Amino acid sequence: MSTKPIKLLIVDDSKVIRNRIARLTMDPRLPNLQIVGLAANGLEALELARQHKPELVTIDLTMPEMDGIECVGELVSAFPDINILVVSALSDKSTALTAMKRGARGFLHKPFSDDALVEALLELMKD
Amino acid sequence: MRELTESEFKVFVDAVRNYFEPCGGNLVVRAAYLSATSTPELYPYIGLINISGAFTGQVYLSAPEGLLRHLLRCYHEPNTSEDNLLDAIGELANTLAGSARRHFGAELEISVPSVFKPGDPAPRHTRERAYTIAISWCGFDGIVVVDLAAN
Repeated sequence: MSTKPIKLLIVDDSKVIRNRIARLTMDPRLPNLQIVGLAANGLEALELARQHKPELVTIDLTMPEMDGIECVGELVSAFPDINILVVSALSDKSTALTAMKRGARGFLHKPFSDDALVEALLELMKD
Repeated sequence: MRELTESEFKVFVDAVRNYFEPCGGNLVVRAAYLSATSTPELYPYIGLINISGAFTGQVYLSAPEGLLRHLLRCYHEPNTSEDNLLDAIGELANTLAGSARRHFGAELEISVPSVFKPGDPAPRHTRERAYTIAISWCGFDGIVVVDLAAN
């Protein structure tokens, strides 16, 4: 019996990082993830989220058009049950706290190892 | 405006170590110094972050193609087109500057990255002399330039 895949949206202004995260979602430790979109900024992310209603999002913070903090707030407002993992180079505590207050449920600092991303996603999906 | 202190400069040296060491391979910080000239010798690719808030100026990484190709291989990225080389150096600069906020806090405001490809004019410096970190990673040289003054 197959389980229903978990819909994942990946948001980062770096294509290299988007592709890296996409590749890591194939890790056998993770449940079946279905990538429903790759977005380069917050506005693209909101559009893709409206179309595909993802259950899980990884999101960068420093992005053009609409930054990650604002996008997290918009996503949580529209989809209160959404699980958001921030993956950002901004390593100060206040930024992490702000993201969590807006509704993010996890924070992973860049640079990250392959294992750290997989473990952060697993932790998030326990909720 | 005042000069960076030694401990503030060291934050960027630590950020460089924190970035490359988890990628594996041998990282050597060959030198960290205040350059004698306004513009250090640069490599063909540059990723630059503008800084505002508690500091004014810019932080950038300059690297040869080989270093960026190697970095993409570390990420298992098979596409080593120029677009991806520029993407990689922009992301690297973003990560170095973002890591420095662990020490400086949110008062260190950082821009999205600007990238310079071979042949583009070099960045114009804010200060007459810049702090420079010369690195060698897996046999590839590069430099990080910290052109900042504290407000």
